[in-house]
Amino acid sequence: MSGPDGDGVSNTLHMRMLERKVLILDTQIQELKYQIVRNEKKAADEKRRKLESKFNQKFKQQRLPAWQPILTADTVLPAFFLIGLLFVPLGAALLFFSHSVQEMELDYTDCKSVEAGVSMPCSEVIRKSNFTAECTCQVNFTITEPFKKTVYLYYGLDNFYQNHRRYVKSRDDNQLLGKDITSPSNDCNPFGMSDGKIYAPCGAIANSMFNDSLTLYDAGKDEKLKLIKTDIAWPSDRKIKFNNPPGKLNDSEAFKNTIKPPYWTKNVWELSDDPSNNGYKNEDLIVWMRSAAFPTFRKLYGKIDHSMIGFKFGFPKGRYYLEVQYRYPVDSFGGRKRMILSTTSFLGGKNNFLGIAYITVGCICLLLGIIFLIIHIKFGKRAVDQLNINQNTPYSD
Amino acid sequence: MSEAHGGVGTRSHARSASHGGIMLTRDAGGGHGGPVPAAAAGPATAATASGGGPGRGHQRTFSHGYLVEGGRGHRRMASKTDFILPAGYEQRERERERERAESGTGSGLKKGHTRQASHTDSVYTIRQNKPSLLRRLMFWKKGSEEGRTRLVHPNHEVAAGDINPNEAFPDNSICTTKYTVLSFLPKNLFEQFHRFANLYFLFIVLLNFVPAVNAFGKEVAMLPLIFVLGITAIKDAFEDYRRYKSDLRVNNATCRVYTRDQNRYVKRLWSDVRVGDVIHLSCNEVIPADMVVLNSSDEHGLCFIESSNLDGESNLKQRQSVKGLNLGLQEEFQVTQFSYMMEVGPPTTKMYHFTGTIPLATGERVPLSKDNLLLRDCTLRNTDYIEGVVVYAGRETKAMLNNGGTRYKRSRLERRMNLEVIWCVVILFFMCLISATGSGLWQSQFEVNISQGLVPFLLPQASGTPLPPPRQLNSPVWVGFISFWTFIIIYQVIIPISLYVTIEVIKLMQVYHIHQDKDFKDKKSGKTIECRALNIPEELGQIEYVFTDKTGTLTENQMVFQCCSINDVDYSHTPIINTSSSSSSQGSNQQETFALNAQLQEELSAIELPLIYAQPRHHQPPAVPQNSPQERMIDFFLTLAACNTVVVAKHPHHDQMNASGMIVPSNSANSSEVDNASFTSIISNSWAPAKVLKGMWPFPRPLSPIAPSPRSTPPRTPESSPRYPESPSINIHMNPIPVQNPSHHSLDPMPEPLSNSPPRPTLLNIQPELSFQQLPSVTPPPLDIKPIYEAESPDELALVDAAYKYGFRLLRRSLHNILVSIPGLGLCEYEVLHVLPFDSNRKRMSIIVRHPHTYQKILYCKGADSAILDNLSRDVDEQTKLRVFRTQQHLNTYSKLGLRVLCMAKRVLSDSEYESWAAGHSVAENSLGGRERKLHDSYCRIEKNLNLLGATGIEDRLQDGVPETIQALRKAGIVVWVLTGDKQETAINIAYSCALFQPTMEILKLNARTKDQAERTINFFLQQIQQQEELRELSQSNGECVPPGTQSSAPAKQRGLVVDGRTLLYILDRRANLKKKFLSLAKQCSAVLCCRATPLQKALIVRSAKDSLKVLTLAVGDGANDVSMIQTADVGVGISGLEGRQAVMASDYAIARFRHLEKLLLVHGHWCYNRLARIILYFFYKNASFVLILLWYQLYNGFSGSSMIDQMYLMVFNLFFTSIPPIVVGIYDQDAPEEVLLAEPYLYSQGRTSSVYQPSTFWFNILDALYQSVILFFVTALCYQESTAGMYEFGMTVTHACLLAQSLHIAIETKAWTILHIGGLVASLLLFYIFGALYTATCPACLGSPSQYGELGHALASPVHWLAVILTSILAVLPRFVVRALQCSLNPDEVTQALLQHHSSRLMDFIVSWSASTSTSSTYRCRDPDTT
Repeated sequence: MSGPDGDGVSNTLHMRMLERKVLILDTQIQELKYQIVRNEKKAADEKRRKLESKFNQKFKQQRLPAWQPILTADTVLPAFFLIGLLFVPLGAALLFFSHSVQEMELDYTDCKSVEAGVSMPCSEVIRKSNFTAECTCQVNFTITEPFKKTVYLYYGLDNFYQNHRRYVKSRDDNQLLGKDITSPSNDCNPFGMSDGKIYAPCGAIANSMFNDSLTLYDAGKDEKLKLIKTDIAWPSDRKIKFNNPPGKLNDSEAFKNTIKPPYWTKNVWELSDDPSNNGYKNEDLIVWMRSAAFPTFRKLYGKIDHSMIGFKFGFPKGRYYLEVQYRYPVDSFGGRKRMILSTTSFLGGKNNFLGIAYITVGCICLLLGIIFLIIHIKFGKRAVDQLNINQNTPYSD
Repeated sequence: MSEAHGGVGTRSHARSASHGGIMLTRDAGGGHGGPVPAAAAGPATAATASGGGPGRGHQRTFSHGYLVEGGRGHRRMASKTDFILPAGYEQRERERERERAESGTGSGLKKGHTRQASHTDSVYTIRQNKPSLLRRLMFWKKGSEEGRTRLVHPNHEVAAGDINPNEAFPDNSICTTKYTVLSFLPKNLFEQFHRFANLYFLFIVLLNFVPAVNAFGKEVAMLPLIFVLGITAIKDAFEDYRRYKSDLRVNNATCRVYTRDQNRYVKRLWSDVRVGDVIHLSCNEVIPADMVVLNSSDEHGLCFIESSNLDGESNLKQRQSVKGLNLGLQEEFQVTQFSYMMEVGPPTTKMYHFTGTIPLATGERVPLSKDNLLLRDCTLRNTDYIEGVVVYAGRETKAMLNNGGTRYKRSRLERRMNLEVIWCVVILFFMCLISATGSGLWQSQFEVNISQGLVPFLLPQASGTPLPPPRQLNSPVWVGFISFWTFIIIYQVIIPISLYVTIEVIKLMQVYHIHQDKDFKDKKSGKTIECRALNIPEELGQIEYVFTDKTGTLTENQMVFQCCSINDVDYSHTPIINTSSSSSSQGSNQQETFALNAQLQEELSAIELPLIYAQPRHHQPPAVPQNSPQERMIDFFLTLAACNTVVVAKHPHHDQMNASGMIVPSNSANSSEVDNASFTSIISNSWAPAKVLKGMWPFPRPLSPIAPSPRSTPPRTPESSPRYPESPSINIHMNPIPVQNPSHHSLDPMPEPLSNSPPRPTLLNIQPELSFQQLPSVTPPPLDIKPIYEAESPDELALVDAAYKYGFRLLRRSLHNILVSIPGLGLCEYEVLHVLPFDSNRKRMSIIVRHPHTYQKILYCKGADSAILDNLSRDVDEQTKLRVFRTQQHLNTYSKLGLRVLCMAKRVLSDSEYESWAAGHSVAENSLGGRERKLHDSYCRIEKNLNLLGATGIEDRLQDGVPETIQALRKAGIVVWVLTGDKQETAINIAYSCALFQPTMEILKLNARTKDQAERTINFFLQQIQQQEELRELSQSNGECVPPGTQSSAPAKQRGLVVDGRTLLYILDRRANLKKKFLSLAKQCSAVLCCRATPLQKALIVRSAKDSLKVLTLAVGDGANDVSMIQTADVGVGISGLEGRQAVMASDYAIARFRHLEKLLLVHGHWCYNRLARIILYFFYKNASFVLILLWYQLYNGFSGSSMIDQMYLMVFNLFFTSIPPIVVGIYDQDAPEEVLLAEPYLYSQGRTSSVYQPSTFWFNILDALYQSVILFFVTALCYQESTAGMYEFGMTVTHACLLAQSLHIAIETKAWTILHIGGLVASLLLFYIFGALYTATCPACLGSPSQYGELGHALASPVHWLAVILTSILAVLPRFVVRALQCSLNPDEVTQALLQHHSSRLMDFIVSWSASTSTSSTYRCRDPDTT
């Protein structure tokens, strides 16, 4: 056990001890670091929780941040001017669109029978025959301005209350879906069944379907204008709401055990020659089945076929006549029947009202804006005074 | 039969009297506590006979009236505030009653005048629910049967095979649920269809099933009904499920029931307990059924119950085992010995009424009274164990019979709303009539052609062939008639049925938010607001009159002993106000409430007591010097300590029987568990009173020893008595052994038995059993453990506590004796001869004791100054007169300081005097007719010729923030009346200090002694005021012109009115016709103070104000004496303070402190009223505009009743699309933020004057609806004129526009936008689109109505639709927007003005802080109260 040796030993021992200490310290530092990280995480978590609970607390204490507008003159001013400035030009645009629509209307309710020897209106002819006789009449008209776009042919009825409560309900959507043809809904009564046979289609709406046939003739050429009778109903109606029962469209398969509605002259499967436009899928029927909103209404009858010569760019001016197979009685309820030729804008038919209304409301708003501006200038001073305090204003408290 | 009963009754009376008569005197007020059968009980039980005759079900609701019905309960109220009826009042009333009885026209109210108890009873009958006719019919037979008494056999008497005669009675299982799984649907539906709204709904649904009438598909028409019913049913089911759960928990609790088979007690479920079972209960156990006590661990057969579960009263009530049965006492009691049948009355709802007898074999009858009955749900306290036999079980227990539903109040706003609903019905009727007429007229133009089937849109009658001429169906009259009913279906929405559901939801959420408000949390007690009524939050915003109790409401009800005057020396004490940290440390830290007066201590210790009492034993009293000041001082403190009804709870209770019924001897080695158990029971019973007796203590009681070492002697406070120069200066050195604990040294070596009845050491010997090591504090000497005092009033506690501090320690109180430790003398056991309980007529209580040493019979009396001073002995020397005079002076000073004063007096009775009185008294006790009057006379006979000992002044500190709150309420225009039982001087002082009266006010005092005087005074004041008013108006008209109605005009002289109890008596007397004049006088005063008012007078005042002035009233109170007032007022607010929970139980809202009232009314009340009023108006508008649109459409469809809006939308529109935003606004909108409302209390006038919702505003809203519907319909119609639009396309546009307009409308009406408002609006719009998308895209043919397939998509794709929707919705709300903007800028209402100011000041703050270049965020953080 010599001194230096012992010293060396003690030195190495010391070194080792130091190393160990360093190690321990290192681990401690590591741990501390972890702890810091953990604490940070915890703190972050807590923060998040606090934030969440802060909303909760604020909600419970009814202290959510709130915006408290007071509808004083100065705060409402911008709204009025904004509305006014938006509406007036919009109204002008709408008026412009409405004016771009061309329209021609023809009332043929009292048209006279063209048949030789009969010089009375068709309406009387059919009434006298108790609605069995056929009557044809013609109405002449002239187009002075050529129509420049696609021309639609509408029929219009006046004083026809298609929106009458019991009338509206008198239909069976299931039957028209082609699903349930065997038992009509009670809503159809009294046009549901007759002698064990089902009316196809059932109900008062279908029964009263508009059945005048309208044909346009070019008076000069004495040529029939072609009408496109498809795509006149809503696509959703055509595709889904109206379907024929399975089977061939005749009285032995699809429409077995059915009869035509009492007012009808044809069976439902004889409405059109086009098989895709026949039966319940007949678009005239579909159009008719969509009840109109008001007692004066128009419904689309067809589109002018612009593939005809001369009709490529619309409807040329000239003399035409309308030939009507007059079947539909309207004089019993004081109704009128019209034929309308019209182009459309993106707003639909001709309607000046929207444009005028927008301009009016816009003007009213501008006027109100001006009035409130005056009010603000005259009476809003009080609030302004209170606000007009700067640092130099003596602060009394 | 009744004769026999009566006979037995008197006999038992005599017997009880010989026991000391305490039992009887205790219930003397009740009148029917005795064994007298109800039928023979005379006028006292008249209420029982008339009201309770049919028995069951008469009083379904838990009326607190019955709690105070008995004399006891009433006295409890009385003992709190010594409200006072003038002397002789009772006499007059009695005479009046007699007259009335003779004339046979005694109305309930008048009859009550004799007895306070029945008085209150009659007040409560206002609210009692009469049983329905059906119920009465159903129970008629049963009731008559139950009128007779029933026999209860002990079950252990019945042999195993025999039929138990008790089978007829229901078992102890309870069922509080309304429904079972099976009965839920029918029963719930039945209940729901009791509501008019639902019946209306049902009527409409049924109407839809009439084929000719039907407007909608049957299924769709049922939708709203099913929705409303469903929501209510879910709510009911949930509530019922909770009840079911709690029933289950209760039924499955266990108790120990004696069984004959095993000859011991066994554990059994509560639900299996039967009538006739004998049950063993230990301390702190809950009583499972109504039972008669047979045996108690107490040697006198006493036990105590706490009925806080039942009525919220947490004080202990004494009950007694049945006397006179030869059962053996305590340990010797054997169940088998109890072989008697019991005759008991039928179960009633009366809490404190019970009669029955036990016929003995000898022919005697042992009476059973309410003092023998333990009620279900009470807790056994302060008793080791009891054994008792069940007499009523399960649903027949009083607890269950009193278990009623919650009260339903209808708010003023709701009444107003119901009126408007009736208007809506009228409007509906006219709309239907007009439409039906139109329909008939329209039909008539086609009359001719229809018959021929020529009108294609009119259907011929359905019959075999389609075209026959059936005229009838299409005849105009018939069509008109049918369409009338159809129109009722179509226009049904104008009656806002959904409003009822919506309002329920809104109110529920409003109450939730009130409940959540942190500001209502009292940090001291940890209590927060309790909303017990869910349906009247808006009433809080309309209060016009606030009636408040004083003690405990305005003040802390923390009685601090402050002054006492003994021997005409005033000793004052400095209260130690401990505001910080406070009582959160429950009990462990002792809290001194006042510092002892050193001078008094000095003088006390100077008295050489043994000298006074060292009389020869059989020395006769007269020889004792009666009037020595020292003795008076001793007697004064003795009165404080003894003359009260304080219950001393000290010793630990333990029962040798364990939970499963086995007897475990406490000495045995293996009884550690039991010991532990009993120890925990000790802990819970006596060492943690804060838990057990929460809310009862006026101040934190020192639980650890008060450490009476000389070192801890309270520092002498020189300023403790500087107020009175006459008090001698303090200069006496303290004794090394202070006076506080003389008992300490005097007790350990027990003095030789001083009397024949030595102090029983049993009590004290238990002390060492306590293992003090387990207690948190240092080991104290056992005797220094302060006993736990439980008193009915905090006054008594304060006095007993004060006496304790001066060394006069009440250590035990039992029926017949009181153990008091007297400094210098040691323990003294006084024999209690009589207790003359407190009542509000006498305003005093007395106790007659026999002195243990001198055998003197001494009467100690404590009471109101007037009650004592009038009865002092007259023939006294000048010195005494001077003393009385000086004491009176002190009393006046005390009451001027706002202290509650009490006088102490004493009278030494000679034996002969006592004997003669006792004989007379026992006659009075046993008399049947007029017992109360006789008792009262008897009391008064002995309580005279008193010798004044001294007086005390107890301070009742004002609560924090009371003056500010009252000021705020008054600024809000609310008239505040303080109704108190205190003395006039005290009351006026408090009124000044709580800012009820201002120094500038003119105080009018009404102190009439006769009726005429009262009338004259009132007339005089009225005239005076009129003159003043005229003068003022004159001066005003000379000056500027101010409309006379406005309050803010020239500063009118403010007046305060003070009325005392006696004057109130004349005023409230119906025959005097003074009420109107009084009220008109009161109307001229901005504050009214009624002192010396009885609880009934309080209620009557509230009611007369409510009825005569037609104002909305709010009553605040904290104690049982305020219950009647709280229930009478429109809104009752209870302060959940220190005095039990009766007021809380009766209240609609319970708050912790009075100052919370400010925010409750000014902020929450204001908000709730404002929101609800606006929402109700909005609903009327919303439904009316929607329906009117349909009306306009009839012009276009021949009044046929068809609607362009699909029926599904018609039904759903109000339920879903437009209901979310109003609900959000109703719950969350704030017309002004809290700060503004609190800063400007006058904004409250908005609700007070109902300015938001007036009849005119309703009609303006209807007009607006009319305008909007016109715009929405006709403008849209014009947009679609001459187009191919179908009716549903048009309808969709109108619906969409209507939705947008209504959303814009509510947006205009929204005052403060939060994320919730935006969310609500967006949600409702989204719902419209999503619902529309689903409905119109999935169902080509369903629901039996014309299909809506593709309608929404088509509409949304069309530009006209959007243009029309935008145009109409903006045009529709334009006028409202303009009017609102004009209002706000030209003539803003008060709230808007305040808001504008607030906003500008905030902006200014912002600018200032910004320009001062301080961080704005920091300023804002400072303003934010949430960040801490």
